[in-house]
Amino acid sequence: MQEVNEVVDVLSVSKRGRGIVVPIKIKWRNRYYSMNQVGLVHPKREGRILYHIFEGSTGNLALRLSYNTESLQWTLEAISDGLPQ
Amino acid sequence: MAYLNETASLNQAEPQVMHIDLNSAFSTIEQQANPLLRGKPVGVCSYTTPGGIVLAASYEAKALGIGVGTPVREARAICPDMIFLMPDPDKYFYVNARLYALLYRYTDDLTPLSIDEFVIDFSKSRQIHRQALPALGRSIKDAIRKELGDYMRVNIGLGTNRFLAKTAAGLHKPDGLDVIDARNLQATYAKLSLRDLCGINYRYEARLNALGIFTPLDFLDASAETLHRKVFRSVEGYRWYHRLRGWEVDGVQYGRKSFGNDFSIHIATDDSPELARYLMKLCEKTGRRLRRHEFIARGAHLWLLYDNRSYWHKSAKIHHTLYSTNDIFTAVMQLFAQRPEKRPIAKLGISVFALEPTNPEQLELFNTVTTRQRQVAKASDSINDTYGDFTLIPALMMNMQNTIIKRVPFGASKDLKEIYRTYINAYL
Repeated sequence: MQEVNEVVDVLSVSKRGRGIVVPIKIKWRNRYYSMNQVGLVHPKREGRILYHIFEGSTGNLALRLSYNTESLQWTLEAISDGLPQ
Repeated sequence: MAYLNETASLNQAEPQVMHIDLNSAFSTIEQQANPLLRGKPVGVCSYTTPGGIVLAASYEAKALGIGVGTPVREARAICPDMIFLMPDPDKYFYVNARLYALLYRYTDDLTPLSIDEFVIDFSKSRQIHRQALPALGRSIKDAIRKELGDYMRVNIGLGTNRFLAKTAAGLHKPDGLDVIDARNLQATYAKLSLRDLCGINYRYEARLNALGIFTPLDFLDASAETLHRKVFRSVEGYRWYHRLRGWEVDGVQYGRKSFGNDFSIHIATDDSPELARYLMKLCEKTGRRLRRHEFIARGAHLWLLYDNRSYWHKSAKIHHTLYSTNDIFTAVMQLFAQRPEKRPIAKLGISVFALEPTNPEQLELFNTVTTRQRQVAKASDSINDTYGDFTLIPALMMNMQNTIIKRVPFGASKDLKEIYRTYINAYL
């Protein structure tokens, strides 16, 4: 994956049941991307800060987003077209 | 004990040991996370550079002959379109913890064998699970797909002991569910080679071959005496005799005896200051684990692999206790100074042993250097717990953020307990 590490705008939906938030639409560099499929969500702790990492795809672009539970900000960590680098 | 008998028949009991194996685990998890990787040859590697090796290959890569241990250079030559990824330990730990939590709903007699394997013994909870165990296996597979992701496939095997359960789990990959019991044991062995049996490496295969044992059926026909005296030359011969017949001989869990870390250097070096920096980081990682598990150590071990593949190691018992990173580093550097050759080193590792619990702690009457050093170590750990690993570091470790990165502890089920504590309490 290609590292990006930019704070992005995200439209998300809070789902019942397991109580998870799912990112639906991401605005990055003035373009909108729809997260069509979330493959895996996992937590990651760096010191006291808990992040939730969302990995999924728009259909032709794979995205890795992180949600900082302290600053409540979304970061686009990396992207990939699913092809060898 | 039953397994020391000279003769034994096949175990006729109902197979109640279940082996669950998330095959190609890291690659499968990556394919689950990133849908664009599905159906493609993927390899999770120690490093994605040509000198790295494949730690986990997806089924698509395995079909091309690329497996664990294949160098990246070779894998790329076989399949130029293969996708190589660096490991993401946090992701794998989390999936493993989720699997543990899911399986724990079925029974508490659950043993994680490694980051991708579990064993469940249903013998004590058979009354609760009225359905047949193969049906229960299918429901576990469904639950894994539903809760962890639709691409998560596990192999499940059932047997009367751990060995047969693991063998059964390897029969139909991926997504298999097989049972080996007294009725089909010989027929199953007839389809396997000696090296298909978990625990038989090429050395044991050669020893077996030397005695005219060429197939698992020959192995089954061999007497306990032959296996004991001529093949394994230890009690392991008796164990194999009974293991092959479905009797449990592998259910022993050993306590922790040491903590250690190692590191492969990208370009072999004999530069002592640089090597000291690597050793300091290994000592810090080892020390953190030692303190987190609330142990002190009274021994240190150092091993070195030189660029010409020669190997040197030395260990020493220490008069004082090892607790802080500095204690460990001092002991390791004393060993390092005794190395006979000053040629370039390609890989190095350290461990501490002769562990004793810190609790109850022997308090000292006066505020000695040892007490103060322990307090500093605890305060340093506390800062790193709050602000992230390696926030506060010894000066020798400056600018080493991307050196000796976090790795997945293969097969270290003792480390997994710590992972479960972290994830299950916090997130599950």
